[in-house]
Amino acid sequence: MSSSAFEVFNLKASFKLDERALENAYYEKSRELHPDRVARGDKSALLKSQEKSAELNRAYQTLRDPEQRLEALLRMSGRLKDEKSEEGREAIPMDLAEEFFGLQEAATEDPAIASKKVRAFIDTVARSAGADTAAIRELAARIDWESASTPENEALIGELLSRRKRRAYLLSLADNARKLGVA
Amino acid sequence: MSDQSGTFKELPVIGSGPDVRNAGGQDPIIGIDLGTTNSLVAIVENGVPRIIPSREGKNLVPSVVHFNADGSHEIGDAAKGLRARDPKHTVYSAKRLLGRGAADIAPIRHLLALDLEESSTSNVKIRVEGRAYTPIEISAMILRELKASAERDLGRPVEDAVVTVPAYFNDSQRQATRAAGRLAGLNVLRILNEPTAASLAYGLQKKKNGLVAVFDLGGGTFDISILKLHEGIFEVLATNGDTQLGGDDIDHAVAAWIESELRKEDRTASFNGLENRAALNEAAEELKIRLSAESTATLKAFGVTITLTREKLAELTMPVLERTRAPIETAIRDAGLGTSDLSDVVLVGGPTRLSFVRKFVEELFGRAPNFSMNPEEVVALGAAIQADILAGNNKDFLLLDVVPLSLGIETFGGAMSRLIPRNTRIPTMAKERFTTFVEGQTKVAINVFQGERELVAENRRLAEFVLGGIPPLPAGVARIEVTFLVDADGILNVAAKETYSGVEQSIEVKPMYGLTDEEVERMLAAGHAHAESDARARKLIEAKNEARTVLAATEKALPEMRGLLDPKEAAEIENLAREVRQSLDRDDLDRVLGARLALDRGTVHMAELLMSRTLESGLKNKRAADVLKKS
Repeated sequence: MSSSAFEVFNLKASFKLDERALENAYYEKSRELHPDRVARGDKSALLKSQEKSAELNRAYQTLRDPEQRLEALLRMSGRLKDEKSEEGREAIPMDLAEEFFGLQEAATEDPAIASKKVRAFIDTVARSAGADTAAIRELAARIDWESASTPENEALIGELLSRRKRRAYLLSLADNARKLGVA
Repeated sequence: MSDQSGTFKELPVIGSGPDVRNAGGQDPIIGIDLGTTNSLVAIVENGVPRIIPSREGKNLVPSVVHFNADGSHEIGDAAKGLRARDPKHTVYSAKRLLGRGAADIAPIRHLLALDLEESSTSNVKIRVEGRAYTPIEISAMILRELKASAERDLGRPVEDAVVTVPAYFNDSQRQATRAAGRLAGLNVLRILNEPTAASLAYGLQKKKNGLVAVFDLGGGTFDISILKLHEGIFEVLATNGDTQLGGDDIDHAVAAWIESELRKEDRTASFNGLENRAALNEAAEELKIRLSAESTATLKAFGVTITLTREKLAELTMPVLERTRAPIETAIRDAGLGTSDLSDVVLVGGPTRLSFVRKFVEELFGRAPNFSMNPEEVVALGAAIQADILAGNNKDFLLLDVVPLSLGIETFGGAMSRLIPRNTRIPTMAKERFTTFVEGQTKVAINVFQGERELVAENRRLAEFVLGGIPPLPAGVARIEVTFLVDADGILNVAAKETYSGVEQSIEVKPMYGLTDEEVERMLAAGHAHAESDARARKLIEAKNEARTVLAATEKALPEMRGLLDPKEAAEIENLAREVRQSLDRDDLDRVLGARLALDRGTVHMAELLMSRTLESGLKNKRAADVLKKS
């Protein structure tokens, strides 16, 4: 099976990461693995280099992006599938949800007035989702992903997942609000 | 990823991978910039890149092919010189048609002075004297000329090459370029993106770190690439562009203006048709070029004096330049940067010589662009540097490039399921699992698309392939794992395996706009046959001309010399002359040659008599024809 992004770079599973060091490691490994190095080699050397290089590129792309990095960590600790569970349902911001339904009604009555309100609503929702992102990353950095199953880590992961659920809901609210139309 | 057991197959299948050869071999690898307007070939020698001059001793070879009446063709300056006079037999801008179908070229169709054969399912062809050429064949003719220039210059055979393409070229266009290389007898080791190549040449010159934007406006394509340069690593962060936007469009805008000016003189005039189109384009190009040195340019077209000012040219060009804005903004955003983060803006391509193009770029980026290198040569020099890297001579430099357009497959309801998003680093791999919907189903059809739209119908279909040989199983049990690999050339390869039963999959590929391996092979074979028959035709023409000369000389001399000849000898010469006359009616080279030789031998005595009569000594054993020509 394929190695995890962290394994490709011989790194411990962690959300905290030295971006500079990662970049340098990526460059160094690329120099060694890139198909340019075997351009005149035989077909099997070329194929092998392509596979290794593709795996390296994918791992780098995963690790350098905080969102993808977190998803990789959740997947490794078997918690990514929990996203669809009922856990964290209580995190859904009912006030914003109700405001959206109000807007939906207003938009059918007077689109012109609603348009202004929709824009303000989208701003509010985006700010709230931004706060979630900051909180998610802060939690992710506190978690010891190498021993994710300790009670302390379990609690932190639970909190992180409910924040992610809240954010996903907010983003879909913003999407739906956009569909109501912004003049 | 290491359990890859399927066999990779290209989509559509064109060319083959690099040949097996000695690592670090001494064979030269050339770098080729196959441009819309001009092409160049370059090489690195002892770490220094240089352009290899053409047959005419020039660095730029116009990407123009002219077909002569005798079936031969000319490339470059000679062909370009004939473009205005003989547009029906002159092909230009073939790159704009490479790997494209009728729908792709619809927006520029009316502007090209070319007789096109269009098809929605295959590459557009160019008709010349009843024969339809694919843009791949035309490109191969240009590549062959560049290969010959390199061989002449280096004094040794050349096979391996790096060929550049616009960064925004899609899979079909890349495949078509590689097929053209093969057709030209080249082993294309790498398809390299033009702006990336340019950055290599700049990097070699400056050896500095930073974030660089490459603004590459060519004859027919526009690319914008954002790169990070770091200690010899050239990392492309994002790329974008428009493969139907270039200097050609500036010419076309000016041509349209000339047309409207001419119409002011004669409202009923029509400028359709190949000759008129070509004349308008020619006039436009000339005005444009003259305006880079002068502020006003005047010329006579269709008997009318046309005057164009630099201001008017800028105004006509603005809508063309404006089209570069959106791709630039997207690329900078995709790179996760702002305009102010860039440390340098590099200009590439002939049209960036124009002062108002530079001004436009300066305003857009808020900084004076860098044009310290010749914008028409920098791509070829970069291709040569990449060739040097592939040869193993340059271990300091490494290019890390990206795929320009998202790759995906069609899912239920015609939606595009994105497997590899644009700006993903290459090589890259994505795996996707497929299953069957019906019990006992043994085949699954998969459609691959390239583009950024949500619906596949709005993206470009790259290929349709069928996974066969699936063991008959209940619906949904078969597990077919398909691996999509985009190689360092930016070209898609596909492999598949059925993981439930372990049965090896066969992939049947239907190429969309390219040529299959078989087609390339057939063309190569036909090309050789063609070259052979061309040579034979030329020899026949030469032999007939020679025979006619000898015959005419004999017919002139015989009546004068009859009195001095034995009647038997005279009759024999008459027989031989008749045989030559008859051979001229047939296209049988051997017979023409044989008859003429026989007549030569049969007239030696008569020639000697002629010589002694004219008192010209020292011409013994010459043929009658030679003697007569002298007198």
